[in-house]
Parts: sequence; C-alpha cells; structure tokens
Amino acid sequence: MTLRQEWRRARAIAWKDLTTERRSKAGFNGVITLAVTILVLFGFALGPDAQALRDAAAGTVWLAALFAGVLAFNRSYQVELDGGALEQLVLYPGSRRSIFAGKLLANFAFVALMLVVVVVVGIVLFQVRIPPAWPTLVGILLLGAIGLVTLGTFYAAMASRSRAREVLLPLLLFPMLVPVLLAAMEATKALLGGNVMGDAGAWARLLAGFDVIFLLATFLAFESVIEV
Amino acid sequence: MSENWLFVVAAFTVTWAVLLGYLVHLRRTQRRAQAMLEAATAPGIR
Amino acid sequence: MTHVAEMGSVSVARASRWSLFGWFAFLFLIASQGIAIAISPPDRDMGDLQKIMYVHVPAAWMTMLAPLAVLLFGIRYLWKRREEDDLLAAAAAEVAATFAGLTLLLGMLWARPTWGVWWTWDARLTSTLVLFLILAGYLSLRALIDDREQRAQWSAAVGVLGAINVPIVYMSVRWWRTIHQIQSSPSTVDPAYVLGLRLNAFAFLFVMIWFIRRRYEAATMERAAERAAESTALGGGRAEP
Repeated sequence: MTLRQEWRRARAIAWKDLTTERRSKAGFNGVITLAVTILVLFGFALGPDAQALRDAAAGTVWLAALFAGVLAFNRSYQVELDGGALEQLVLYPGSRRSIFAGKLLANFAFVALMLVVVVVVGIVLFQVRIPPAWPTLVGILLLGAIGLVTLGTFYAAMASRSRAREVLLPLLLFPMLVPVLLAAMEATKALLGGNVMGDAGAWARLLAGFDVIFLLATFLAFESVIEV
Repeated sequence: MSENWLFVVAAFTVTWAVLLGYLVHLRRTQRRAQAMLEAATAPGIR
Repeated sequence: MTHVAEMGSVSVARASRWSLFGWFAFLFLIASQGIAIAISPPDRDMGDLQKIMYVHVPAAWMTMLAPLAVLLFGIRYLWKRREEDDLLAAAAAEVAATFAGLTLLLGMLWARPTWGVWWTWDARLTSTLVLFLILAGYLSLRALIDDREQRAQWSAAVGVLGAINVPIVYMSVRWWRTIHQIQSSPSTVDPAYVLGLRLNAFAFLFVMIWFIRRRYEAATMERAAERAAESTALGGGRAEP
C-alpha cells in the first residue's frame, strides 16, 4: 500500500469515526458535559477561596479533559468491535498504520475541541484572567492533546478488547501520561500566570519532544497490538 | 537520636518482611503449578 | 527435588544448582547487612539513620534494573516470538513491582525522621511510585487477557513502552521540582560507607536474580501443565506434556 493510499485510508477511517460520533450527538455533548461537571466538582474540592482556585486552574482543566476524554478513546474502537470489522480491516498489508492514524486523527479532533471548551469554562469558573499570550495557550492545548490522544488511542486498542475495559484503560494510560500531563499543566500554569519566568516555552518544547517520542513508539508498537 | 534507631530497625524489618513474603508467594505459586502439572500428566486421565 | 515426569536428570541438577544459589544469596545478604552495620560509623548529620541506606539504596537500584529486564525480554519476544521471553518478562515485572513497593516503603521510613513527613514529592520517590503503577498496569493487563498469544504480544508492547517511559518520567518530575525551586537532597556517598553499600547491592542483585528465576520456573511449569491438559483433551489416551 503506497503512502498516498494509506493516507486516504486513514482519512476515511477518521471521517467515519467522526461522523458516527456526530450522528450520535450524545457522544460529543455528553463528554463535554461530563468534563464541565468534573470542573465543577474540582471547584468544590479546591474552593471557594479565589486564589486557591486560580492556582489550581491549569492542572484541573487538564485533569477534567483527561477524565472525560478516556471515555472517547475506548469508544473509538467500539464500532469495529460491534461489527466484527476489526479482523477484516487488519488483513490488508500497510493498513494497520492507517487504522491507527485514522483513529488518532478522529480522537485528536474530538479531544482538541473538548479541551478548548473546557479551558474556556475553566477560565470562567476558576476566575482566571485571560492571558495576553492566549494564542500560545491554544498551541499548548494542541500539543497536549496530541500526547493524550496518541497514548490514549494506543492503549484503548487493547483495553477495548479486554474484560474490565473501563478500569484497564485508565490503569494503563494514566501513569504513562505523567510526563505529558506534567509538561502540559506546567506550560498552561505558566501562561495563565503571565509567564513571568519564561518557563512556558521550555515546557512546550519538552511537550513537543514527548509527543514525537510517543508518536514514534506507538506507531511502531501498534503493529504488534492490532495483529493479534 | 534514639528514635532514629526505631526507623532503622523498622527499615530492616520491612525489608525482610517483603523478601520473605515474596519467598512465600513463590513457594505457593510453585506448589500450585506443580499440582497442575501432576494433575495433567497423571496416568488414568482420559 | 521435583517429581515432575518430564524433567530429566539434567533439569534436576539445574534445579539443585539454583536452590544452592538461593541459599547463597540470602546468606550473603545477611552477612552483608551484618558487616555493613558493624563497620559503619554514625554519620555527622544523620546519625544512625544512615544505616537505612544499606537497604534503601540497593532496593532502589534493583527497582531500576528489573524494568530493564522487562524491556529486554519484551523486545526479544517481539523479535523472536519465543514463549520463554514472555514468561521471563512477566517474572521480571512481578519482581520489579515487589522491589518498587519495598523502595517506596523504605523511602517513607527515611523521609519521616529526615523531613518530618511520610511523603515528599521528591523526584526519585515519585518516579518510583509512577513506575510501580506502570508495573501494576502491566500485571493487571496480563491477568485480564486469556488468549495466550494476545497476552504475550500485548504485554511485550506495554512493557517496552512502559520501560522506555521510566527515565522520561524521572526527568520530567525532576524538572518539575527544580522549576518550583525545591531543593533536592544530595546523593553523594561518604567513602566510609561505600564497601557496605556495594556488598549489599550485590546481595540484593543475587536475591533478585534468584527471585526472577524461580518465578519463571513456576510459570514454565504452569505452561507445561496447560499443554499437557490440552493434549489430553485433544488426543485422548496417554498425556504428553
């Protein structure tokens, strides 16, 4: 399969995943609502002191997105699992990478959109001032989303096909996400605080580095995961 | 300073507790595997 | 030693050699601990607390070594698809989790008298905790997958990725600490303690190797039992292990 064919296939898979999601509007809306609910609960846990909330805002936003996002990852394999289509998809050589790429794209679109909404709501609820460097903030969100989605899609390929999938995915995924989460949270924290020390750039570069490492590693390992 | 001795003793105790505990776990696992093997290879199993 | 039907005399000899090694490892450990405690003078700052180093540091070193074994056996499994490598990796992971748990407990016993708290978000302690969770995930995965080939292949992928992540986690946590300007404790060892530390490190290494070997043997036995049960189910007549 040529690269061009693979890319077309990946796009097709991504489009199919996304439209299935959209047709069941409950999917995206439900996850967004869950993320906001989690934000509110964190508000209760940390507040009502405004300063405490402001200090915790960056971390909380990412956690809320993570907890809501895990639901999306397992579900991205649901359609194939229900229809038994996974075995057939895997038969074509070179198609395995495009399956992974397709699901990555779909999940990325989903999570990135969710993150933007969660950050906006978080800024309001946690009384954070909109930073002047908000375009950079969007960049951090995208980089972090890549990290989340890469590992999430990878581990969901296994968790969704096992027993106790609801607990297995977080169990496998969350410890592996520590570097990505740390970098994303710290960069966000720095930006929301006006980036006085200039840390945001360094964390962002680290985050980009993590994304590259994990993208490479998961693409290589996906073969072993999907073929069995 | 003498309270520190307590922590040192505790540390060595915990160490041996964990090592010996894992030893017990090993024995149990081994015994179970052995039983499985003997059950599976015993003559008279149809 | 073992009465298993298919083990020939060679296997019995091998089993006895490993039993001997096990005894040696534990006796060597007792001796190392005794020697280290006897010859080490109390530290200027820490006093007698320094002696925890003889269990804490070797445990920490083993906690770093064992995941390396999981990584190497995992890679070799993905490369050669030999069942032994999968069972070795799993054995190494279980032992690694044990040593990680021990390191955490000892770290807490060190932290409490030193800083007054049971836990500090110190880079090494925190990374060990994350490693422990990664290993727990690995072991849970194995427990939940029944298909043997699927379990071996998925474990290898998860193990390799997890092991690669360990230094990455350590690096990010350490930077997280420095960014917020938390001083970390210096890790230089006074030369007076080096001999005791080395002895105990080797002792731990011997014990760990023996643990992994024994765990692997039990797993192999289980596998042989499964194979025997399968062939009786399929073949009827005499069981062939």
